Amino acid sequence: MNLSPATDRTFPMNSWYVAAWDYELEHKLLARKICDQPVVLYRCKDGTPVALEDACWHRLLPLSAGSLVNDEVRCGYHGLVFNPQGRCTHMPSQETLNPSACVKTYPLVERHRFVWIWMGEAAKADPDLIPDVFQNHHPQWSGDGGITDLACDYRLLVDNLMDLTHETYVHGSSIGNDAVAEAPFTVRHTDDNVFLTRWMLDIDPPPFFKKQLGKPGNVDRWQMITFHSAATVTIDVGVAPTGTGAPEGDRSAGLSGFVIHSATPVNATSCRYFWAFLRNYKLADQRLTTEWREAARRIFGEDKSVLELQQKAVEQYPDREFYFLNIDGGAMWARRLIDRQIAAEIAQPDTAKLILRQAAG
Amino acid sequence: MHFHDASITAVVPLCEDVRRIEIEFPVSLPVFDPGSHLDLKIYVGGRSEIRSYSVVEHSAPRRLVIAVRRLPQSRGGSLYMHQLQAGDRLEATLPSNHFTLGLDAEEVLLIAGGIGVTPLIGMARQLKALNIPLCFAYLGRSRAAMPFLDSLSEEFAEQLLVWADEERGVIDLHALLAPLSSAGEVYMCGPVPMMDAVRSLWRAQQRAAARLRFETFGGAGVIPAQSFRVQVPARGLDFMVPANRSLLDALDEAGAEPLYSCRRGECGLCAVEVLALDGELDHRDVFFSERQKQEGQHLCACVSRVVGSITVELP
Repeated sequence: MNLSPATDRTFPMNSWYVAAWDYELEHKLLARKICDQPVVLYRCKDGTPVALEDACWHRLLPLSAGSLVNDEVRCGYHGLVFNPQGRCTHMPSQETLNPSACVKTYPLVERHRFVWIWMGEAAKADPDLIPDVFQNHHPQWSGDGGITDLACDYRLLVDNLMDLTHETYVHGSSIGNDAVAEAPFTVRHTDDNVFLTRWMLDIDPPPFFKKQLGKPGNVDRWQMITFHSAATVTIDVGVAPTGTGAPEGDRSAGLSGFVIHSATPVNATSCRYFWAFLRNYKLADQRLTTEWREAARRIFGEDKSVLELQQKAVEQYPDREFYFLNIDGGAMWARRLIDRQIAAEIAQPDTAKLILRQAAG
Repeated sequence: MHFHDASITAVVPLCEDVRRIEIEFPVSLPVFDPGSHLDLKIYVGGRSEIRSYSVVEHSAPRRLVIAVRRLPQSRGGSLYMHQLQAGDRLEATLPSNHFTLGLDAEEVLLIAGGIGVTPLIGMARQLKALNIPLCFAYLGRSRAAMPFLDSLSEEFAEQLLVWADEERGVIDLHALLAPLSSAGEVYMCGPVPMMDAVRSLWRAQQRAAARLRFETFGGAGVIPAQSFRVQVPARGLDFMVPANRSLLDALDEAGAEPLYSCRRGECGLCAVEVLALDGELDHRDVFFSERQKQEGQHLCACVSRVVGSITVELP
């Protein structure tokens, strides 16, 4: 397991991260680096996803450079074969198998169109801890998503999503306008979540929503952001014509979107950003699905430019701390939850079970 | 392999010939991984050697526990370990793992033989915590020779099957394996004859080799270690291997330049060819198959021994 007690880790290992979209995994080998660990992913013939350490036990050649033989991986160098449990099942030129021969496996759970991976202690990989993003695969929701590789610390993306003030300045042509930057917001947190709610009442709708809503006049707009530690942010967004009761709970005259963001650390300075943009109206409208997805891709591309510039700046000034503003409350809570998770892994809980102090028998 | 300057914080006698030894490291330990072991530097006859011991548990963020049985027929490591007292210094590596526990088995049978119980205790705890169906079979000569017995009985209740030869005769391994489904897995650690018997039964029942996991530290064999004579004609060597030395170390010292890697009878690199034998081979490795051991043409020099004298050739 080698959870080394490093103190400068930027991501917890005991957390579910998105390893891949469901469609990305096939009966073929896919190499990914996740949390600084090389991983090879594939599906068995019955569809079961598998994740193995991408390094042969023998001479460390990436197993992803080998081949699949039925449901087992054969190293492309000397032909050692490893099964989905990571156990060696074939060794060349000998009649026995070395009992130590195995590669690490990582728990995987396929849920809500994502294949989630747990890079830390397998015994703690509780599927109930997977962020609930059911909207990504639900009859009352439509939409699709994509992947954007970011050359930045995944936490910069979390910061970005936990403070949507930036929409005004980064996404002014689509979803941002002055109202976002000026509206008050509330922040709440639990041990695993941070909630940030922002209502923009009686505002001129930003261009994207104006087009989608197709109704004249001002709107009430909401953004309800949930951070699911360590790397997933979901945002319930929408607009409804002002005066139709949305702030009181009646969204029927408006439209809702649900945005899923999950940032999987590749290493300390890069991440793979999985995102999806779902809607709860005109479910069968394929054109809308494509328009929303491509709009999201454009918008998140604007974030990519900013975040990668920011990463370079952070590296330029390694000793400089950020200054914080009132708007950073959500991001600061998210970081605090991440830091707590990492600290809990470093300061290992006292596992003493002293009942094994048995007297002389 | 980095050795830390560790120290002994407690030594407690557990049962006949077994001591619980708690070791403190100058750094935090990684998360406890069932099946892990650490390497220690010990001294036998003034020489530094390395021995591996399974980690029973972590008792504090920097402390872990091992248990050592004193084996008169071993190569001297256990005698050294039994001299240690609280406060003594010791060079030790952080734990690493060659015997990892998979967590996706339908059911698991753990088979511990005597002191071989040590790596299985952590496994049993993890399996129990995860509600994976578990049978923990603990075999031994007599209850008095089985460390941790009382506490394990309490902790694992009906999941623990205790079998003391003294009370019930030799266990019927066939009956022990019978209830295990074909998708079930076995993890075992114990004397070589016990593990050989299980492996051979496992093969006979055509169970998947990858579902039988075992740990070996090149432990004691069937026959007590004794000195034996070795000749290497190609190099003009003729010497005695003392009871507390391995054939590999003796060959190395004599200048025979043996190759080796794992030093626990797994990799097969140290195998020597048997040219002549006057006596008996004591195979203690898991590299050669039963068939190859019966043929008697090769011997793993790191763990296996001889009774009598042997003439060998090295690669």
